[in-house]
Amino acid sequence: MDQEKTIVLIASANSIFRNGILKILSKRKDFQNLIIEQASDIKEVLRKYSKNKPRVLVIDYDDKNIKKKLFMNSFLQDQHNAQLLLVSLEQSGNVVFYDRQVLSTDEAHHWLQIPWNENKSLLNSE
Amino acid sequence: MKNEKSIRIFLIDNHALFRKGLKAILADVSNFKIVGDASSYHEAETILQENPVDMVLFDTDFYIIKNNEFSENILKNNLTKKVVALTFAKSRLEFLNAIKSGIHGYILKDEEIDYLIDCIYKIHAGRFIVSESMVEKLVKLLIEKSEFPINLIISDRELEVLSLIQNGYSNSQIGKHLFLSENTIKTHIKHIYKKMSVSNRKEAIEKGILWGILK
Repeated sequence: MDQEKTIVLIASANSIFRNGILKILSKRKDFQNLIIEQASDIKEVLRKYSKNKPRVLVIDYDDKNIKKKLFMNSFLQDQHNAQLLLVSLEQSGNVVFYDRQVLSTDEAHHWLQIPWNENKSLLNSE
Repeated sequence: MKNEKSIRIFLIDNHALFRKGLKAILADVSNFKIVGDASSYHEAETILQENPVDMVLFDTDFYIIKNNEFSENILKNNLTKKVVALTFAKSRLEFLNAIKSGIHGYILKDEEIDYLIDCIYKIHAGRFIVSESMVEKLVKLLIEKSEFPINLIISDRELEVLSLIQNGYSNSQIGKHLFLSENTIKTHIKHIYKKMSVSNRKEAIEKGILWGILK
């Protein structure tokens, strides 16, 4: 049986940035299990987000074409389990990572007990 | 296959994700060899001294004069044959400072990747390339340069004040530095603005560089 594919949405008006992230992802061992979607404006982001339900989103949040407030409202209202990487091309500082995990009660209990820095994210495979 | 005719490229950008992504893209282009990348000039200069390249692609804050010196230095010391600004900066002052520092291309980061690759080939072949949206600025700068008013030459004292403005001094700091009152400095600045037909410090610096009276 085929492994379920993980959909990744890269959103930025900047073509170099989008393609750069794509290249970085293409070096992952599990790249064949990823479906990479790209969006260059908020309309495309919202359409692909609601239609494809990406598991991972990489958003250039200072990009004026992305309209971060509109996107964040939609993201926070939506209940689907997704990880969000917020990157600003205008600033070279930290990247914000938001991991909305759905856990069972037992998993939540376990999560409260383990050291949090041992949590592995999807993007942290190297 | 990459051969000895490869264009040897070095990337400088303090945005790690953008830099690593660009590096991965360019590394796959035939005839491009990405020799290395760095997040700062200091780091880059050390590597380039050991390993000179054909082209440095760099992002910078051209408001900072020191950054212009970097491109001048690496060219003067033969650490690279070409220097290309790859930047989001679209202001006239940053553009002017970059041009003055002897760069061979000014490419905006929001260009398509194929355009950037094409520019790298053309610049390597000896052409000077500026992103299309910056061409209008370049033409305006050239027109203004030809309008240098030789009958309104700025005095030595005014030039001294203008240089201190360029170095970020406030009126009171200029006054202290030149042993003059703040009011006298304000009068000098008023005369400078009138002679240069400008209305603020930024415009005065811009024109000063354009006319060649500021570095």
